[in-house]
Amino acid sequence: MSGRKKTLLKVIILGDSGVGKTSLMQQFVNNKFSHQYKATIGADFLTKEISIDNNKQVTLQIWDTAGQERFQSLGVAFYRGADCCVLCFDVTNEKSLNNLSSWKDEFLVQSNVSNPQDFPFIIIGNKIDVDDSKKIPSLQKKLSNITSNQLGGLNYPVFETSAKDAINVEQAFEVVAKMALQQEELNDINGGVDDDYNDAINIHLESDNYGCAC
Amino acid sequence: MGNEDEGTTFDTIEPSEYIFQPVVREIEKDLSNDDEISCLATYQANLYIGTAKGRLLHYHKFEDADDYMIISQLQVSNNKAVQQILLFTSVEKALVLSGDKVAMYSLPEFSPLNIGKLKGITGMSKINRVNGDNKEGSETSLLWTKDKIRVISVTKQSIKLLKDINYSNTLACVSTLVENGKYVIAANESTYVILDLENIRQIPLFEHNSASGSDFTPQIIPFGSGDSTGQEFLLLVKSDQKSLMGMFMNANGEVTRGTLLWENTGYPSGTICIDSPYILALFKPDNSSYRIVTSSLVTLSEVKTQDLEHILTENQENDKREESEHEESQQDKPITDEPSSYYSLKEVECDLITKSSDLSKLLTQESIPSGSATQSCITIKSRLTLASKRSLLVATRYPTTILLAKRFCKLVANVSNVDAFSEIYNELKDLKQDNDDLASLSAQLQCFILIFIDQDKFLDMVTHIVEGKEGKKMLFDPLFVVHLMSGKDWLSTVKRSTTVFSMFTDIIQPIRDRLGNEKELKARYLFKVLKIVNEDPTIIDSDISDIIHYELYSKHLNTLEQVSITVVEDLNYWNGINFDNNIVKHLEENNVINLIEIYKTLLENLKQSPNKDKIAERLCSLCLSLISDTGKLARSYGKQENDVTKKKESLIDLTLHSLKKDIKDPKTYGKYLFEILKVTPQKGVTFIKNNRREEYKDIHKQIMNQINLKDESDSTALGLTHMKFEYAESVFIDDLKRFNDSSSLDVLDEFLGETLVRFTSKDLLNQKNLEVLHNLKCEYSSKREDIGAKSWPKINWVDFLLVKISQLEEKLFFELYAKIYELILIRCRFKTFALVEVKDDIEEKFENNANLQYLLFMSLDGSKKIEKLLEFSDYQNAEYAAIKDVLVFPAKTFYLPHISVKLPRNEGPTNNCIKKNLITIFKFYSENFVEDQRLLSIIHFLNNYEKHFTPLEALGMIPKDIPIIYLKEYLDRIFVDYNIKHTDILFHKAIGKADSKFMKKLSENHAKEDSI
Repeated sequence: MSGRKKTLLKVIILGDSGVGKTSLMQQFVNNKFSHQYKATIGADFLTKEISIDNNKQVTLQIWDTAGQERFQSLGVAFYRGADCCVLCFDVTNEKSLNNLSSWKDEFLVQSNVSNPQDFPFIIIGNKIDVDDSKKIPSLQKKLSNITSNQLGGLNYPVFETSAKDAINVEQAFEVVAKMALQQEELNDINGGVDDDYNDAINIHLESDNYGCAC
Repeated sequence: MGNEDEGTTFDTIEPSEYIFQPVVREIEKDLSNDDEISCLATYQANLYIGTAKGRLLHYHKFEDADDYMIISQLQVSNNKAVQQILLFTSVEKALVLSGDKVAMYSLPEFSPLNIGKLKGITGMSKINRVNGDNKEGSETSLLWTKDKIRVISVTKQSIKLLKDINYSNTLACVSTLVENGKYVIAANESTYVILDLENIRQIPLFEHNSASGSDFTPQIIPFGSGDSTGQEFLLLVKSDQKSLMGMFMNANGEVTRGTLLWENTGYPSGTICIDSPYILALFKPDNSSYRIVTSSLVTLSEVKTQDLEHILTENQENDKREESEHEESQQDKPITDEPSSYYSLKEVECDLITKSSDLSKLLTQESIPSGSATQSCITIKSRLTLASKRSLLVATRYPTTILLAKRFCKLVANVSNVDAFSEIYNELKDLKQDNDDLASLSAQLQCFILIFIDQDKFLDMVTHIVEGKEGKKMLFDPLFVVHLMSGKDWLSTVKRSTTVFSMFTDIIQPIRDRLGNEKELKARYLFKVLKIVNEDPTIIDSDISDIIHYELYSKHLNTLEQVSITVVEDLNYWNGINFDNNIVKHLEENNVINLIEIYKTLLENLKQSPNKDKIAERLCSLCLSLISDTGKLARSYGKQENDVTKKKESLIDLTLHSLKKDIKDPKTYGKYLFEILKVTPQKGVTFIKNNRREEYKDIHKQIMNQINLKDESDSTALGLTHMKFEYAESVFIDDLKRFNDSSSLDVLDEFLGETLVRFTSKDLLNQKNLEVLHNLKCEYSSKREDIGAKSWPKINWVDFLLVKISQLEEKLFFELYAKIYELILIRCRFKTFALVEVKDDIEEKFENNANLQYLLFMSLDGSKKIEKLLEFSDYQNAEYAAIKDVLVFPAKTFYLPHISVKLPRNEGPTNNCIKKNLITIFKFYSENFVEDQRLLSIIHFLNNYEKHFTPLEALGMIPKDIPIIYLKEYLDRIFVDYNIKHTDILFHKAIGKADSKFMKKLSENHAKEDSI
């Protein structure tokens, strides 16, 4: 599939409902933060042009997806053609941490990426601005367990951020952009750019039936 | 909508609000009782309506008709609803789906083509061709059956099947051709997919109905610009039992926008349209009436909900009733996801055109000051339709211009800052307007905004010229613009009216208040209009032009420089007008100075205008009215009476300048010149002296004669008298240059007469001057007696007088004396005459004064003349008159040098007469003089006039008491003369004698020879 301009890097943000996916995107793109929570419907995206690695200009198309389950059937439409996936959890919500693996698997299934083993992910633990008392006990240990698990573990870069106070957000998305660009370049080398439809199904054509049907 | 009492008012309009207007008002009559609209399509001015009973109604909008008219009806199937009409405009064909059969028809008349029917078809869709090959003469389309999607080609003659794809249970299908492939977005009973027609494969997208066991009709709605990146599709997804979701994709299956959600609305069917930047969806929530929910394509949130109750007109009352019946019948049925389809929203291929009462009302124009309203018939064009079973409406948003106007009115009321106005202006200026009324509204709105943000642009705009049907005209009625910048009652005062859009009537005064004292802006506007009219007077009506001119000239020209600049730009106007217009009348009463400047500038700049004489006359009249009334002059300049001298002088100069340059009519010239002379004789006469053109000669003369000196003691009168003489003298000197023969004597006589009048006027011929003259005469006479000098006589009386003049305080009288003397002398050279011929009372005036009588001597007979001169002691003149019979010209002459011809010579007296005259003089000398004077005069006489006497006569005349020795010089001379004569005789005698002796000798010799 070649309709997309290749300097455009598609980034998908996944994670449980309420972990702050929309806030992270808004903070990074618009430098805004809203205290009001509003669940994302389906998905929405924002774009931001940034400069990475020797002033190479890239446009990040960041897709903020709905964490609610009812929208998950739409995932395939959003995930297709992604160059990087951000797995988000809330440092005060242990369940959201534990679900990271599910989100990763869901993404790999729905997106049909050609190199699931090497596809770039990044983990963001959001809301570090809250009191330590509210944070997940032994967070670092638990996080370490998740990321160091060699068998299907999430051995990816981890950033702890605060979308509210704009802590580490820029840095995290800079790494995201670099990883997405690498993935993009890898796709170019493998010739994968010509077709993003890895899930296509052949259909039967009644090729001899040409002519007037009258 | 359409209801003037309850319809939308200007204040309540929102950007996302739609106007609904019936398209075919008579559609009810065209449908049979149990029939209803099932689908529709448009092509050019044609509207095709399919019905539930298988009929096809063909309507056409004629240009001169207000409404669509039915032109044909066709039964396309037997009581089976017409489900779809698909138009292929490039090949002018249409496919109509009714039941499960598709038939082809020819456009635009919709005549059936007998090429058979396609069967088993459940739906149709055109392929949107994007940058792909577009074979001329064919269009491609998708038809789907229960188990196939068929790609067909429609040509002018036939339908060709291009490809059959096995795909079961197709419910919706939309296709797009892009450069490198053919993609079809399709939906089956559970999922949306992309069908890749090139590679014959399907790519699943997502489920459209996750809730199992309920019916849901998927919809794929194409929209967007149509280029490869802009074409988008809205795919409807059932979210939960009562909510609907919209996903936006491009032809490649990529999500292009966020997700749209309609919560708790139920599921619309065939009732979602996209009218960028809005999405309209028609819902009927449970136990509620129909409503149209408008969402933003940008924010993906709901922006407006309109109940059909409020948007249906009274015309749709029947619809409402039927809708109620429909609802009642539906209540008995089990609740399903199948939405009500009583109404449907649809976007058609071509614009439908209809009148809009809402817009007509909004665009009502109001006359100022009467307040009467005028409504134009505004039409709207739209592809968006709202169809019920038995009615058809078009939907369109309120024009952006109206919304911006509304925003502006609010801003004006709230006294907002300039940036807010700029935003509206920037949005407004590039908007394309659908009709003339909206264009006018936009122009009027821009005009208002520019007043606040850019007054230069405002002026450019309100003076913009447009090409109308009847030639060029100004985009804005000047009366409207001036009304805006004037007091609210201005139009009443000029008894004119203008119009303004009703929506702006309330903001006129706030705008006027904001303008405050922007008199300069108004002046600049008026000046610009004036320039335009000057270049092309047909651009505005002449009466409006007069009003504009009046406004400018009467109220906005504050300096003379402004007046001058304005008039220079306005020459054509002034060149052709009646000078009794309102401007002139106003200025005559209120600002004479400006009016004078107008006239002055016109005279300086108008070339060969027939009015020039008239303008000059008015200028002179105005100037003189001020010159002669210092009070008025001071009031006009706003100064004290003692502070307007310079102004007065400049007005006099201006009047004289105009008289000289522009006034051709002799009577007018004379009239104003005379007035000037009365006020300032000196300038007047100086002017006359310097303006001695031939054509003015008679007028000047007439004026001079008119100057009546009633009281010569008055200093003004005296000055005037003198000026008058100066003028006459200058004219005379001019005339002298052309002096040639006796026929010119009249000129001389005339001037001599004037000179005598002046000389004998009371101010000159007075006791004081006569005494001075007498004293001088005494001095002159005595001097002769005291002289004792060597020569005789030294100087004549007039020369003496001229020498003395330089030492006198009052010179004029004595100069005139000398001048009269010279004039008479000249006159006498031509012809004998008496002074009474030129002035009859002159002898009376001179009678008792010997010194004045002198001037009359030269007209006396020879001997009398000499006697008088001798008595007067003017011996030089006496001697001269004795020889020449005329008097001598003074050493300094006033007029003689100007005479180009030689004066004629007198015959002069005979020798006897001369001798007699000389003897008279000699006798006078010898008898009246004593001592040295006597001796000198006799010596002088003998030395000068010896030739008239023989020595014997001369010696005999010498009185015996004069010793002969004093006459030595004379005697020496006559003796030398005598000796010379005597020697001469001796010589002659000697020669005669020698000659005789020689002849005698010769005769003797000759005789001798003869004898030999």
